[in-house]
Amino acid sequence: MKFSTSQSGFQKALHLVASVVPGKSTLPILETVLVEVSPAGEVTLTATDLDISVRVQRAGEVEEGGRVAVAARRLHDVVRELRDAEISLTGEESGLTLRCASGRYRFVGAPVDDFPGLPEIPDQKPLQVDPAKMERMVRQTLYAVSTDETRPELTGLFLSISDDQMSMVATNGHRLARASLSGAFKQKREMLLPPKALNQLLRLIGDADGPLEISGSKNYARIRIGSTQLYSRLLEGPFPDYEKVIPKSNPLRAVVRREDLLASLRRILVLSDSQTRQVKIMLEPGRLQIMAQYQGAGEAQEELPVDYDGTPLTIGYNGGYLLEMLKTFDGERVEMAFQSAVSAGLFKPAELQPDEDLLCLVMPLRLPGDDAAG
Amino acid sequence: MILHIDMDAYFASLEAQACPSLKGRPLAVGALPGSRGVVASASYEAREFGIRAGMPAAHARRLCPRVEFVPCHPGLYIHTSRRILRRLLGFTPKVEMSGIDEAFLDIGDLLPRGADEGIVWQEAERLAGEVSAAVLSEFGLSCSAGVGPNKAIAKMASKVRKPGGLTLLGESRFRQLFWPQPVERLYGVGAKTASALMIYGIETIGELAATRASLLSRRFGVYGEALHALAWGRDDSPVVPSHASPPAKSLGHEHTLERDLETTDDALSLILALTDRVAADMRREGYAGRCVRIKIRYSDFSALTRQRVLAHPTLETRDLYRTARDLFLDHYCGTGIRLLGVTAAQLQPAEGRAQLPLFPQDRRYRELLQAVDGIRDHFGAHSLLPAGAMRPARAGAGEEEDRRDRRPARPVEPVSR
Repeated sequence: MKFSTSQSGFQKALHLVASVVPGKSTLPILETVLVEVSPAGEVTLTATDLDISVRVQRAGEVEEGGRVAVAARRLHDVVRELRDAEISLTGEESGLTLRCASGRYRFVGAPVDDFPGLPEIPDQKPLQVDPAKMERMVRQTLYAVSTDETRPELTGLFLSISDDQMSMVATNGHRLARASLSGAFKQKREMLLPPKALNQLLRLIGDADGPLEISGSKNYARIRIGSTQLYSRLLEGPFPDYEKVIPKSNPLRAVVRREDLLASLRRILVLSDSQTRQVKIMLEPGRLQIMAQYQGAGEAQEELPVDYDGTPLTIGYNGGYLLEMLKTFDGERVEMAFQSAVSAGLFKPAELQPDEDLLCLVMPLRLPGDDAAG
Repeated sequence: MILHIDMDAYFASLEAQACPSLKGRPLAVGALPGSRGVVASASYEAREFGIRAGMPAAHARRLCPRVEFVPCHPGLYIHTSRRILRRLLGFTPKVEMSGIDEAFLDIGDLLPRGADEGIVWQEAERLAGEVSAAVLSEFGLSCSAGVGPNKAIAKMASKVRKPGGLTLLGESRFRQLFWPQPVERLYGVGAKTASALMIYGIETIGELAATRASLLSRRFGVYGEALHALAWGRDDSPVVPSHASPPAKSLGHEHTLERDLETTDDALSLILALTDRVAADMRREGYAGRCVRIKIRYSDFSALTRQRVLAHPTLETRDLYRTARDLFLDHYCGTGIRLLGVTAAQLQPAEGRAQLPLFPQDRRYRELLQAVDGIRDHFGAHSLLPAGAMRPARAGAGEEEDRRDRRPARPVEPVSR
């Protein structure tokens, strides 16, 4: 194997794949990057931790094809520090030699046949999405996944595609976020993606140089962004029937300025119980009050103007849930809709793109002295 | 003035009550003969043969071949203990349960103030008699009562005349009666401390009282000073009402098996049973826990403890069980198991756990737990069990132990395990 390439392009590609390499693995081969060179002039880098794999393709001037696996971090650390525009790499069974104007570096190779193969995913009808829209949907939902290992089905982000809509849903059993995108998708598919893969996706999208394509098999998903591919093992479901818990009619509607509510919550939460993060919200026509108190710390109360003309309502929430949710909203105003102090509150940005939708549910906290059944 | 109530042969009396044909016969509650367990409680008829709690079952059988062995029913004992506590609270709110079958009552507020000492003692005696009579008539259980100026003397007084006795003991009478007795009879002194004192030539409570406190505190630290005061019949520890006791840091149960468990299914069934009890205790006492810990002791006595911290504090049986199960499956090495334990730690008050669930199935599960807790509260902890926890392999129960870790309210004898 012998090829030459630009230092910056090679470093960028290495940077992308190296991020999946586990820091310490019981399988030493997982700490390597697989460098494959085709006589047609394609240089492919692959790394995997068995759950997630990233494969990046770059063009190079190829003299001779071949494959070699070398320690990913070491190769990346050297390439990153090089100041030469062009580098040439020669691979043989024993390793990889990097040459540039300033010097020569030889990396000991690992048995290339031990490198795990990537899952086979049929190439038919991949789903095409605008990377910017995909990124927004992930950001608007990923925060809501559960970290509770006792309920593994809630630790994933649920991607559901129907003929004319694609949705991403996350819930931890107390709150839920659903981002949807309309489009002519013309297929039906459901997959439960691990957050680790989506964090990786966000990293790759930042570097996107083309459309995003999603395809999948029973156990794996593949997301292609230009010349980069992300493979992820899927989580086992079933994801709970979330449609059922979305309230059909929450008659008490209020609209408030997002920035004001967000800033107010940030201040109020300082004086809330650090465990429950309980805040009390009191709505009455034209006025929204937020309160918190924490024994031994103090108490806080703020008042915000609100567009509301319903009956007065007092409702408790985990303020942390509201804060995390509001941070992902765009636009100036937030729409809220309630039914009672013990049923799910519905939140969404008041302004949305015509083909996008975002809906969030947050279950209240039962306030002390409030003994209605929940 | 403190009244100490000590139930007489509590487990054995309850067993005889549950099965009247056992009444009046030598009875040993706990392990069955031929097993490796010990007697947890012996009836007074069995004690005449020298059978004592803590004695191996096989030894008990040798002492009295016609002794009746009955397995423990901890649920019944705990349930009855709680009912007795409720009754005692009818006399005064200052009741401290000390273990499952003893209670301290601070009766100072119930006695005439500023009256002649003789009249105060008379009134205390009447009150103690009334409490014992109430326990006997309402629960059919005999208890011994001791009255003293503090907890230590009251506790030692209740031991003077057993069963069914009532003893009043002032400080001077206490010294007269107890100073000639061996130090082991002193409240809070066990075999380990007694043998440590023996090195100094201290064998009786009187000799302990005559030893300089500074010498004792050099050898035993804070505990040494407490020992000296106790020997003089002095104890200023208050009666801490059970509902105001210091918060628990962990709650757990463990089970020593009659026969080693050999299969994963049997082990998981026991883990479910233990977790179910831990979770029920947490809910009753108002705690949510963030950490689940399991203990496995293998048949070769090697033991391991593993724990996992959850994303959120919980008091739901299924969350605790899934974590305990995963821990077990991750660490079980596949050989015979002699003991299993499940503990919930990093406890915090559950009042703040008011987050309502989004999914109806979670709501229903909460309602189910509430209903189960209600039934158990009424009919006893043993009245309902998860089906998965009922496996025939464990039918011959071993020894169960309630393990809860609270900050000690007073210096206690150091125990080495």
